[in-house]
Amino acid sequence: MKRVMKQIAVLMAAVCCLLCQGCDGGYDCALDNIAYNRVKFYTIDGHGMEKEYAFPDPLTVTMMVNGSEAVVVNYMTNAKELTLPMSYTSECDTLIMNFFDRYIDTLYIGHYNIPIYQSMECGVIMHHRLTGVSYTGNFLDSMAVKSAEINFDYNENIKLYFVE
Amino acid sequence: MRILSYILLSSLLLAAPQRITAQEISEVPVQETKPETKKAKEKKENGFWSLLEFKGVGVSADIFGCAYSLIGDGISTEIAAEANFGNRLYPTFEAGWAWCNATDENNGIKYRTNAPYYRAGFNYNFLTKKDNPNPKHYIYGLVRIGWTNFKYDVQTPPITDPVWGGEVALDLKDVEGACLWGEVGAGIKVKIVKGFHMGWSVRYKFRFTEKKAENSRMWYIPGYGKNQSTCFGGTYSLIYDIPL
Repeated sequence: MKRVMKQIAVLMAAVCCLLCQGCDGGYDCALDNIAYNRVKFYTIDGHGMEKEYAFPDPLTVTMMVNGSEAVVVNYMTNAKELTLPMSYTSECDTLIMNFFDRYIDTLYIGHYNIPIYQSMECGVIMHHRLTGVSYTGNFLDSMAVKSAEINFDYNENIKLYFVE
Repeated sequence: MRILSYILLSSLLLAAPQRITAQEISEVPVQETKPETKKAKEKKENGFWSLLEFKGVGVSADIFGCAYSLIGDGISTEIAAEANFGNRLYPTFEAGWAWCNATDENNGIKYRTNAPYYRAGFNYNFLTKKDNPNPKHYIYGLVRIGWTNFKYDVQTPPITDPVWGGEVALDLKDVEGACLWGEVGAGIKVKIVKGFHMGWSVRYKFRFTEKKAENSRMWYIPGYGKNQSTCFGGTYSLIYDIPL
């Protein structure tokens, strides 16, 4: 009987320790809070191969969302890519690209917003999914969607093609 | 403070049956056995299956889940049925119901669910020996597999777009969730009066699979607890051995 009582006492102590210790951390909260649309520049070389492109001349990019306007790139040279914050409420963001202060192209980026509840502790984050893109093509050659999912994974989402 | 009050409460509950048990031990009558032939006796004593002779069925109710609400996030209650094979092996089926209605005080997020859950597995009693085939107390190891399919609601206050402004709130209803998990652990069972046992078990739980929705992730899983890859749980049960 004494032996059993001793075993019970040990087991109770173990239970108390385990309950105090708790469990693993579980879900890790996302460190980022904005999912960016990552746009990269490309050109096609003489052999028909795709290669990365650094835009040599000053580039200014303005974004229009819900009637408000913000300059996201201001007179940048050798621009290779853009990281664009998407709107939580709009389903189409407008991008105005100004090349050499002479040519202007407008890009329309359609997207679906996905609010995601992570946990009670981590709250809600916003991801987006591209639904369609269109452009005016004054200076821009073409564009393509590489990955429609805009999240915290640093994926490349849109490819913009220029003629070198 | 909550944990301390819980420990004191549960210690008192465990201490009570011990006193009764001490009185009971001297009063338990020795059962008379029918005379057996030598051959049958040998076979019974030496055969492997004789060690796992069917001895009865027990049913139990868990009261730990309710007490766990003092330190945890949900309340649960469960009943279980176990078959006794040679006082060693106890195949067990557990069915329970869990409730969670939590609101985070910091961010105002609400999570609600109430759903059934199930577990199946077995206990193995380490105190049953050849020289002590009918121990009055049990110290056992346990293995379980648990599963649940349920729906949950999530309501969040509006979140603000940090760049472009504007707010979006999330109000999800009847989101489908499911989880499959395993449990290993140990427990004790103490006889309190004839036909009744009371006992603890502590369990280490590990999640195998979880169903993810597009807009949310389960936070509380009925029968498992908070949605973590591993966690601990326990039961404090009153067990009745059905006489055959």
